[in-house]
Amino acid sequence: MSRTEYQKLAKISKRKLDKLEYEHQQHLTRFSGAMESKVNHINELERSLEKLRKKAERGMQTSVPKSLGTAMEMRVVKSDLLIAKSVLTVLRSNRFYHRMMVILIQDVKSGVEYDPRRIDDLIPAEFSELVEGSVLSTKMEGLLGELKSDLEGGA
Amino acid sequence: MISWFSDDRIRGYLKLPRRKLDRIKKDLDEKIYDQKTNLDNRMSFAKDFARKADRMLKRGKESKAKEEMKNFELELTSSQPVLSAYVRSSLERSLLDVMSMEGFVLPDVLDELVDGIDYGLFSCNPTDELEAILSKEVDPLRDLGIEI
Repeated sequence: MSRTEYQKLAKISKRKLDKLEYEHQQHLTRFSGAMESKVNHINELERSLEKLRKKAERGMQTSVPKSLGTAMEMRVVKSDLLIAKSVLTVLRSNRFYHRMMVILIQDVKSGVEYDPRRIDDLIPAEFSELVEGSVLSTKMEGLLGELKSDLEGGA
Repeated sequence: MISWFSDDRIRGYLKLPRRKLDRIKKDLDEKIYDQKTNLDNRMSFAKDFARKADRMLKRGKESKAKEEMKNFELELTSSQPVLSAYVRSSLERSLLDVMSMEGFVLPDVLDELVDGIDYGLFSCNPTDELEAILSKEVDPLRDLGIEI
């Protein structure tokens, strides 16, 4: 995605650029669809986790041991959630790559001069969030600590 | 560079023919099935012990309840490595699906553009770090601040 890459694109014929743009567009559509499907999966897992959390909350009122059994179930669902979120980041990076290539090719075709600041501007907000937030949002540390906070907060 | 994508074995998947990839996926599916079954069994045992502890507590048999909770902890501890193995296999299986998609590029392509992209569990070393992250969850009693 450097100047060299941009210059390479600039040397390609219009017909080949059209073909390349079409291919990246197809990949973009494919990865966007996969992302949507993964987001739905994540939503389902989050709903399951929420149901279990409520069950554990209710259990805490009457039986602490029973709610620990639920905590174990939550641990597996949360693991699945972490897996799904991690896969989503890879899908997102691929979608972003193809999206950016489409934009760069269109720029070259339109005679837009290379500007690294403009490349930075292409990084969407969701990608910035990914960079800033995903370490905290995906690591398993303190999972049951979180559960404890959830239970305390919800009780 | 991202840990999972630094692994030559993982990178090598991109060069494999579809038939071999399908075979690897099938093997991983079987492994995940076994791991999940094992995990479900240990969870079921743990829940049984938790139920027994609950029953003993309600009957005022605190010593017996304590014993059942110890059994619960044992099941919980023994399920940790299985959970780690399950997460590792599931991550690899999901990654294989993504890598099989037409147009897939290794995320290092973006490294020069955006610094420090975090790919969640894929950012940690598949063995040591993943194990360490997951193994922090071995003692729900302590983490929940519960004492029987």
